[in-house]
Amino acid sequence: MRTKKITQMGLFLATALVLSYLESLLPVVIAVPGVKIGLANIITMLLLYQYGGRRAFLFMVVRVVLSGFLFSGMAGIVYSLAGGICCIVVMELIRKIPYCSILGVSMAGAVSHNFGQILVAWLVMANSHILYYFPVLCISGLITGILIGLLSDILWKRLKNIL
Amino acid sequence: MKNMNSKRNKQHTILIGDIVILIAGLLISLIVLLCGISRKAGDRVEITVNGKVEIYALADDETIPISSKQNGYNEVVIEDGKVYMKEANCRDQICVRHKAISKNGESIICLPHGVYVEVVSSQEKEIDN
Repeated sequence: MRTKKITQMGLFLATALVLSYLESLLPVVIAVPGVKIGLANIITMLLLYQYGGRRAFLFMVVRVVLSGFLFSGMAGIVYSLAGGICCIVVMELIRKIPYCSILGVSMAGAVSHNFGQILVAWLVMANSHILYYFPVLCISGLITGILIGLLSDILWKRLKNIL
Repeated sequence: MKNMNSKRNKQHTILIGDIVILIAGLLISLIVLLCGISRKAGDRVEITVNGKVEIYALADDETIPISSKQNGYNEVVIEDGKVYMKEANCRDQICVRHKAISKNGESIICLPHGVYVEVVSSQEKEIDN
C-alpha cells in the first residue's frame, strides 16, 4: 500500500506542476493583480475528497515549494504557502458541514486562499490599506472557486472508483 | 431507475450551503468595499518601500526612482495630479499596467519588490493614524 501511495502522490504532483506550467502560458486576460485560475487546485480538491485533509495538506506544501522554485521564486512561495494553508484548513472544515457540495468547498477555499495571501501582504508591506483590496480578490475567488469546483466535480465523479 | 441515476450523476448538485457561502462572500466584499470608499481627491503621495515611508506632493510633477531589495528598480511618476508606475524590472509588471491613481486611498502595489504607492489626503490621514 505504501508504494501505491508514493506513486500516486508522484503522479498527482507531476500533473499539478504541468497544470501550473500551462496556466503560466495562458495570456493574462484581465490585468488584475493577484487573480489566477489556479488549475493545479483541481488536483488538491481530488486529493481532499479522496483521501482527506492531511494528504491534501502534504500535497499542497510540496506542490507550492516545487512550483515556487520552478516558476515564481522565493517571494512567491511565502505568499502561496500562506494562501494554501488557509485554503486547506477552511476547505476541510467546510467539507464536514452537511448541505455543502464540492462547489461551496471550492469557493470557500479560493476566497480563504486569497485572504491568506492578503494577510501576508499586509505583514510584509506594513500597511493596513492593502486590506481594501480584499473585495476584488474575494469576488475573483468566488468565480475561480466555482470554475475549479465544477471541474473537480466532473473529474472526481469519474475518477473516484479507480483511485 | 439505473438510467435515471446516471442521468442525475451528470448534473451538478448545488446545495443550500453553497449558496450561503456565495452570498456571504459577496456580502463581506460589499462591506469591505463600502468601508474603503472614502474616495475624495487626495493631495499627497506616500511611497512605502519595505516599511519606510516617503511623502511627496501630488501637485508637483516629479519622477521618483526607487531601488529596493535584490536589485529591484521602480520608477514612479507624478504628472498632472496623477501617479503611475512608469517602469519596473519586476517579474509580473502588474504595477506598470495599473492605471494612474489620484483619489484618496487608491494605491499601486509592486508585490515582488515590496513597493507600495498610495494617494492620501492630509485631512483624512490623521484618523487613520
